[in-house]
Amino acid sequence: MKRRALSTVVGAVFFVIVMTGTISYVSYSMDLIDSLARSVEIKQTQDIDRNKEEAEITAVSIDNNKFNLTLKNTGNIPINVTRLWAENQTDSSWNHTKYQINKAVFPGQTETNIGQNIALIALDSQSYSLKLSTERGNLFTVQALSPQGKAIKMNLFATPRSVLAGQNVTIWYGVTNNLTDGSILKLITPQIEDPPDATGSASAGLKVGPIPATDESLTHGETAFFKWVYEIGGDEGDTVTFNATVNNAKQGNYVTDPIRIVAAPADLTGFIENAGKLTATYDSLEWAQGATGGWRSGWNLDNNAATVFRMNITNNDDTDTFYMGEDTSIVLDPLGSSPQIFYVGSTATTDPPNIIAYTDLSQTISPGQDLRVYFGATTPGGGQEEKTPAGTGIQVTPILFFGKLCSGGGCPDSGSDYGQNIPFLGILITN
Amino acid sequence: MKWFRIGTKRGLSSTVTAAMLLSAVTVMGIFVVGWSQSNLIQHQVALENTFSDKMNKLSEQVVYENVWLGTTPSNFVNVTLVNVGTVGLNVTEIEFDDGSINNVFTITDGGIVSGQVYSLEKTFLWTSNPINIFTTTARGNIYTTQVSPP
Repeated sequence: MKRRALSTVVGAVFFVIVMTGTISYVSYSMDLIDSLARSVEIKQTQDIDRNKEEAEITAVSIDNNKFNLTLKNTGNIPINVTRLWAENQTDSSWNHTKYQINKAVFPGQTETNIGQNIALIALDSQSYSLKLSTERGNLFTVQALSPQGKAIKMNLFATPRSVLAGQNVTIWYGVTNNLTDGSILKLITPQIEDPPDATGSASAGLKVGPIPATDESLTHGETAFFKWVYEIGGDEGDTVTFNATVNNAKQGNYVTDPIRIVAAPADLTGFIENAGKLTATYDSLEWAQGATGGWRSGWNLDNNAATVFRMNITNNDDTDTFYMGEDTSIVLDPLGSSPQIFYVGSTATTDPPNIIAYTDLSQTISPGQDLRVYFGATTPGGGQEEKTPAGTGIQVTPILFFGKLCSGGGCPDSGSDYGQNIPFLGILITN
Repeated sequence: MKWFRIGTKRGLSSTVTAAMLLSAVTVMGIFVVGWSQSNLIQHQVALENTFSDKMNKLSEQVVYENVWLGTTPSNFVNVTLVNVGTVGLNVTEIEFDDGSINNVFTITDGGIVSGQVYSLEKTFLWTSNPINIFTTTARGNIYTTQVSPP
């Protein structure tokens, strides 16, 4: 029995050896499977991170003949910008060139001056395609166009369009980046023909402008506004045509707007006959928006905000009192989309804006007197505050008066209906 | 006559039998152990190679960072690739195909370490057709992109 047991022991030893090898093999295989699983996990994480990278090139300019890009990390993981690729679209002999950047941009942060430290000379007169690559392999591209690259949208408004000799005319010039390929327009420098084209003995002397002198860059949908003020001289019927464009504009890309000189009224009666019985004191315009700030002046208003206005109106008639109707209103016309109408209120308060409902013909302006008139209701006689347009830009803003002129007994019913449009300065809606 | 005692004969055969049994067990054991070890090592090597190939192939990632269609002195395509994977790789072949012309370029210096770029410029008489670009690596991955001539 003892000898047979020895064989069993030897066999058991061999069995143990074989089993040890097998277990080692299985264990090794499990390790490999684990490694593969980890590799798949790492790969998936990298792919997810690559898809989560989000950034936007918000501005491009050329400062000191060097690119100056601004990149905003709009995602929720850090981005490491590795290279800048530049292609000169104006000069095709240029090679595509890459430059090392190596800048980390953390979520929500904005990195500026990208391109200021590379050995690349950039010219304002040329257009470039720029591309920022990230460590994860994403690319963020932008076209930095010189205005001469493509025709861009421009608007020009001269106000008032009918002027007396010796009066000032304000020229508003708007440049909109309406390019649909995401290009950024760089260095918008407005130019106006000076002196402007004139007929007869008309003249226009520049007093102020352009304000501002330049705009560094315009992203898609943005509009830059510039202003000049000219003093007009000449005789009745003469015209002055203003012509504005931007520096390095594409040939034929410009806008014009004429004004006409009208005769000075011989007396107040004549003026009233020509211009209407009601006049506005333009610098009395005040408005209120938002929860704070009270009554404010100027012409820059926020978009899509409840707003109330007030302004002094004078009745220049010698005898009749003006009874103001409930349709009296300020109209903000954004040129191209629906206007917003701010109907008259009996009064208004601020912080926040609050218009008090108006009763038809309840307020009057006596001959030679003035009245502070409030506007801001959504409907005639209503008490709900109207909002400014959602879109931004220049608004042509006339004031429309409706009511009755009346004197003597039986007023206002015995009076005659009266309506008048007072041309008003432009309102600029921004966001 | 002590030599022919029955008890002594039984003891001898028992010893021989035990020795034979032990020998047989030992020989079979050595054979089985040898066979199993050899077999396991073979499979282990094969498994390791397979997994290593798959993992490295999985870890490869190439991105087309820039493709430039130039015209001087004749039409050409300039491709810049960046290795955004975690392992080094070898580009072995790049193919340009615009539907009418198909050029395949064998690459011998296409090693790219992780995070680095590789550029290739080749004459390709592109027209107005979109160009499909195929890049093949030594591990068999194929990366494609398409560009349109200006």
